[in-house]
Parts: sequence; C-alpha cells; structure tokens
Amino acid sequence: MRVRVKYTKGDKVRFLSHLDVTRNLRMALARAGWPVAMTGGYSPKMKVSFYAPLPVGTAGEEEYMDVVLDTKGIARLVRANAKCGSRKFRDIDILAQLTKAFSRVLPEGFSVKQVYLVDDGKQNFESQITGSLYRIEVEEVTTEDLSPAIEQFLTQEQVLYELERPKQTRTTDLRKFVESIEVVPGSSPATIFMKIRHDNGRTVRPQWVLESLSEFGLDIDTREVIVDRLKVYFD
Amino acid sequence: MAQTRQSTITWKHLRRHLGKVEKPARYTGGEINAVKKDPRSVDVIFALAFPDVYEVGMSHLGTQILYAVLNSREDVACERVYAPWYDMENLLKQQGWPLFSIENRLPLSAFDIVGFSLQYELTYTNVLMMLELGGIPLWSRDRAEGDPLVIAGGPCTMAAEPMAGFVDAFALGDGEELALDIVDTYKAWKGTGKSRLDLLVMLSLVEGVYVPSLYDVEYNTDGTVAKISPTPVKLSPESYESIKAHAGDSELRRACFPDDMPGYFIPPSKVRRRVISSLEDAPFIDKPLIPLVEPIHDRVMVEIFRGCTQGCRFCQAGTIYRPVRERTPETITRYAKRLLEASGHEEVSLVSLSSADYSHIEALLSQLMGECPGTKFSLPSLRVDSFSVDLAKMLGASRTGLTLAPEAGSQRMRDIINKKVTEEDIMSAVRHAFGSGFAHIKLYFMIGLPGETDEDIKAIAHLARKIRQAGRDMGIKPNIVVSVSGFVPKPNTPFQWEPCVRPEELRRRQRLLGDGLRGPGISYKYHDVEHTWLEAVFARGDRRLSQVLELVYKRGARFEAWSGHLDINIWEQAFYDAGLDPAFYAHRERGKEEVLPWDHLDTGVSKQFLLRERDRARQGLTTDDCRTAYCVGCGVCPNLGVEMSLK
Repeated sequence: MRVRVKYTKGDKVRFLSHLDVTRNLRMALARAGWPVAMTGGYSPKMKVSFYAPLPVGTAGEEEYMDVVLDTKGIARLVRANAKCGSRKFRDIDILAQLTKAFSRVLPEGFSVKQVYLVDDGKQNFESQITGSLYRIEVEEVTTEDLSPAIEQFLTQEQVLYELERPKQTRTTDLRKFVESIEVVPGSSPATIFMKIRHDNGRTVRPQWVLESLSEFGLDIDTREVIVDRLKVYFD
Repeated sequence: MAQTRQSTITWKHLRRHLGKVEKPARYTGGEINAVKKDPRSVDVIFALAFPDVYEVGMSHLGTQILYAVLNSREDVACERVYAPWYDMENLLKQQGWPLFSIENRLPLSAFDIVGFSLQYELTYTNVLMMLELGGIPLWSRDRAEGDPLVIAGGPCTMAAEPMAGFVDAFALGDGEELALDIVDTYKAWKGTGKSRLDLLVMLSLVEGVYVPSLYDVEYNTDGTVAKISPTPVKLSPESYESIKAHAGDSELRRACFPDDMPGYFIPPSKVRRRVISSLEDAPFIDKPLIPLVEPIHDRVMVEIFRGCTQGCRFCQAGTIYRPVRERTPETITRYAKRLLEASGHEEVSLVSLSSADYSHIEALLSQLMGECPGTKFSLPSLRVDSFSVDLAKMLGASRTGLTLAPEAGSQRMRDIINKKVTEEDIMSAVRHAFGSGFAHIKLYFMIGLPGETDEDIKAIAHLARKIRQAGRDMGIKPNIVVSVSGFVPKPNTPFQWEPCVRPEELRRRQRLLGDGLRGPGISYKYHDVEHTWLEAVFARGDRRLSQVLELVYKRGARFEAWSGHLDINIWEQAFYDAGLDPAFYAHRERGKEEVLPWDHLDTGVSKQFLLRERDRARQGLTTDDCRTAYCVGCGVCPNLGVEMSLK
C-alpha cells in the first residue's frame, strides 16, 4: 500500500540539504509509529521515496514523498481501530489517523498538507513531474532593473549556462527549461514568479537563470536571493 | 530577571546571508526538544559553548545532559552556541554580527554565564575565537561587571592552566550538580551590586570550582613551577561578612577566613573534583535534542556506567572519572526505550569507558534486543578478549567489523602500560572473531610510549601480520587496519612525568612501523605528528602558555584538531615571540619532586599512587583492577567520600 505525502519544507528549515530533509522525515515517520514497509537485507531501510530534491536554501510549499506501508502493520491498525469499535473501517480513517500522528512529531518548519493513496505499480513519480513554480525575492535590484533583462532572456533561442561540478563542467541550455518568468510590478523586494520545466528528472535552478542575466547587463548575487518552490506540477 | 538585551540578528537578515556559508543549517537550530525560553522571564541565562563545529558538538553527551539539567530549572534559560566555521566567522565579521546562540540568537556577550566544554586541548584556540566573536573580552582580567562569567568544564579542566588567562572559573568533575551550584551562586550574587571579584570569591567556595586568578604561580629560574599559592583577597567589610556567613562553618571554610587575617579571604589551597555518588540516580535526559543536521554520531546514547578502573597507565579518563558507578540494567533499558521513541533513531550506543566491563552486559544486551526489535546496539570501547568478541557478534557487528585496542605490540610494552592482555588473549580473540564471521579487524596501537624500543615497534607489525595469517589459516581473507597514534603523556596519569617523543623521532618510528606493515591485506593509518606535539605541549602546560594561545589565535590559528588545519609555523613563531620553549613542556622528563602546574587540583587519586604505578611500569609489573580484585589504593574513594557502585 503506497501513500503519497504532500508536505511543506518551510522557511525555518530552508537551509537543510535534501539528505537532511529525508533523514528528518524518516525519523518522524518512526516517531509517529507509521507501519512503513522495510527493505530486506542486513540493514533494512524504510521504503520511502523522495522526488524533485530541493537544494540547500530553497523552501518548498508542496513537496512530495511516497511511503510504502506494510500491509500487516496496517491490518494491526485496523484491528486496533475495530477494538475501539466506533465505526466501520475505511481507508480514509486510517489515513487521517496517520496524518495526525505524523503532524504531531514533525520538526518545526515542516508540515503535512495531505496524505493520499496512490496506485502501487505505477510508473516512477519523478518522471511524471513536469514543472516547478518558484517565487524568488531579490533585495538588491528593483523591478525596473529586472524586467528588461528578463525580457531579453525570454527572447533568446538558447541561453547556455556552465555548471561547474568538481570533476567536470556541464553546459545546459537554460532557456529550454524556462516556461515563463513574471516580475510582480512595483514589488519590493523585487518578486519574480518563474515556471521551470522538469524533463525526466532533469531541471535547472532559478538561481542559474538569474545568474545568466549578467549576459543582459544585470548582476545579481544569487546567494542572497530567497527562493521558494510554490508548486510541483505532474501528469 | 535577566537584563533585557535584544537579539540583534533577525531571521530575515540571517536568511538573506546564510546562503554564503557551507552547511548553513549548522546555525539555524530548530532541533527537536530544543528549549526556547523568553530570556526576560528567567533569572540566569546560560550559554553552553562548544568549541567545535555543530555536528561535533551535537554528538557530545555531556552537553545534552547539562542542557537538560539547566533547562529543567524555571529560573534558568540555557542556550547553545558552537564554533563557527571559517566562512561563518567571515560572514559575522562582514555583517558586524556577534557570535550568537542557536535558540534565541542572543549575542554571547548577553549571557550571564558562558560555559565552555574543554574536551581536548586542540580546541583551545576556538574558545578564544568564540569569546572575541561573541563580544567578550579575551582575557579574564579585562572583563568588567557587565561581561558574562566565563567558565569551563570537561576533562581538560583538571589541568587546563594554559587557559587560565581566559577562563574565570573552571568546573572540575561531574557537572550534573556542580552546574546548578554555580548557577545558584551566580544568582545569589547577581543584583546585589557586589563586585565581580566577590562573585569569583563566592564561586571559589563551591566544591569543585577553581578560580585561577585567585592563585599565584611562581617559577624557578629553570622555568619549572616553584609554587602555586592561593592569593589572599581583601574584601569590603560587607562582602566579607556576607560571604563568610554564606559559606557556612566547615573546617575548610574556616581556613578560608582565618581569624588572624580579618577582612581577608584565602582561597582553598586545593580544589577537589566533584563527583556524583550515584549514576543510577543522576538526572536523565528523557527529551534528547535531535538535530536536523546529521551529527557525527547519529544515534542516541545511554551511559551505562561512569569511571573505569582498568588502570591503563596512559589513560587520563581512567583517573579523572573514578570511581566506577553503574546504572542498573532496568534503568538502562527504560532509558534506551524512551530515547528511541522520542527520537525515531534506529541505533543506541551504550556508552562507557570499557563497555564489556559492565557487570551484567550479556543480560543487558539480551534484554535490550528482546525488547527493542529492529534496533541496533553498539558498544564503544570493547576489551581485547573472546568475551568482547562474543558481545560484538551478539550485536551483529560481524558485517561492519571489529575494533580492538591492544595498544602495544610486545608483551613487555603492554605490561609497562598495564594493558592486561597477553598475546595469547589477542590471538584467541581474533581467531574467535574470524570463526564468528568477522573479516574486518581494526587494531589501535600507540607509539612513542615510555621505554619503547624499535623492537617494540616491530612487534606491532609482527602482531598485525600474525593476526592476518591466523585468518588466512582459517580460510578467510582478513582485512586488517592498523591505526596508530602518537603517545601524549597526560596529566593525572602515571606517565605525567614522562617526555613525549619528538616529532622527527615519532615520524621515524611511524616509518619503521610502515616498513613492517607493507604487503597485502593490511592497511596502515597514523596521525600527524604535529598534532601529537601540540597536544603534548598544552596537555601539561602552565599558565604562561595563555599568551601563546592569544598570539596564534590573532594570527589565524583555528580548528587545530581538524586534519590539515594546524599551521605549525604560526605556533613555532608564537612560542618564540612569547619566549617559551615548547620542548620544555613536551619533551622534558619532569622530576618527581617538581611542582606540576596542576598540583593544586585534586582528582582524588593520590600522587603517591601515580608514582607507585610509574615505578611498577618501569619494573614491568601490572596492577589489577579493583572492580574485580583488591583495592589498589588509588585514594579516590576515601579522598572524595564516594564508593564504587556496581549494580
């Protein structure tokens, strides 16, 4: 039985790495007493999957993880419920119960938005993700500075970005990943909404797009911008 | 009520700039079970300061215990602060921000008491960095009434004279009760309008508190300590009367207010370490701090006993945590279960100095494994014997490997250090291990031990190869790791008078050992000789070294314990500039009659015992463990009024 958990990686925990996010959520599942199915082998791990990882510094309003529940464990929960004897068991009751338990033990900054059943044997969720909507706040520049540079970016066929990795430098075309950019007129700090595509797990960071604006005469210290992912789109 | 001191760094500010540092979540807290009180609602705000990075500090059990103990008091708010990494130090300086606490982001200077944990000598420079970044004057003598009281606890404090210039008061021994006594004393002083000196005097009357500025050190022309004497303090008439009245009427207290010197306070001539009589009844953390960032030891810890009387002659912990005090298996099991539930962890570490020595270790493990299915248990510090191998096997460690510490390669050398295992013990332990499915064995050794010859070094290589061969004879392909550290003579051990081997000689011995270990199936790891050297200087240093610490700190020395962060040139230059010879501290054999810089601090273990043990070492005689044999007369029980407590 696979459930999908929609959760928030909030402002206070934005600086956690993806690895730390997964560690904290797994530990919270354990604290909440979820009957999570385990992998086999010498050191069994919880069957939990995370998608579209966020980098350090970025918060996420609607993030997703999948949890495979152990049928025997669920059965135990059902029996426990039956003993309480109130009403007939429905999936939804168990899910509500699990949601509540999980909510209670989450570290400050995390919250659960929804827990729902998904088909088990379906294709990988990661490949179903088509896009992310980001909100970016930039303190140093005004919307008047931003707009022309962004317009120029959007008129390009291709904007190449060199991603420096420890061993190699990879060149990515940012333009093809950017679906739309909107500057909120007159906002302060300057606020941008950016919709970025995902292509089979491949995507780009909004910071890279802002960095590339230097080609169009606008320098932004992207280490200082505040990025929040508001939504993850999927098929 | 604490003075209202506003936090200067808002989340919004911090958020905007933290993207510039590595692992920013080190500085943002939010741990589960963190306690965030309104500092204005309490009498005393206390900062637990750990002079290393967050992930290291969060794995420290002592900090966890004190955090719980202090925050259990309604009139105290205890917050934490860790050493900022280089990038964060730069950011703080660029932004003009003070070093701040995790919980309320208060500047360090806003606290009433700042308590550092001195776990190892190579963190001393970080203490200086944290003080300065926190807006607290570096030198104790430069602090005024409005500055925090700077105290320090931890194993180093039994001989932390090099830090005497920077620390107002050292807390010696077990902290569970002592920390609260210090807080109470501070509270009694605070708001009375009395001077800072009065506070220090009041603290020096607390059993286990050492106020270095109240002691005067005189030196001989050869640089050795001539005398350490308490300095008489002239108190104002009101202070004299009130402090005297507050001190009660014990014999020791009467000595501090001698009738023939009215108006004067004489600090106690010796400061005795505090011990808690029972670990079973000691406060326990039922709400462990769970960091959101992965700490270096990512598991919950339950202390199963405190103290160790194996009597290894190089081991400082073996002296300064005596006597042995155990917890009952029931209590340990209860605590382990509570911590697992509260944390969501899957592993419990059963902490002590020699876990296989616990009286009911097998029963404990079967009980724990029965009651906590799916949980991993680990035992640090196992002995070198078949029994320990059985325990490791029971814990299912055979996949991960076994760590054994014979410490020395030859029987002669093991007798000298009082490591009471024979080669046959070692060989039967490893054969047993190989037979039980272990293929990875890690062996810890020390080189540079007193009386060591090249033959003793070669014996390490010989032993390692013999162990590997034993595995091969049993038809497996063993993987042996030999990990070697340089011996540092530590204060309060029978080897405290011994010279530390010079770096170039230590390097030669490392190479000699490396030559003997060449070949397949054995890998060899060793520490930088510079770390050994620096630790040897500071472990047994006197308070003149405070100025060296200031010099190196100002010249950029930080995080000395981190591999690759120790710049030897800065240190050598600083010793030269201060007119001090590091070899005097590290490489000189000290005379039996010599006054040692920590002679006025009393661990409870007598100097005669240490000298007797040193003589026995030289004769190659071993000494038994009082846990299983007779009392060896170390003095700790009568001197401190405690007893060994086995459950």
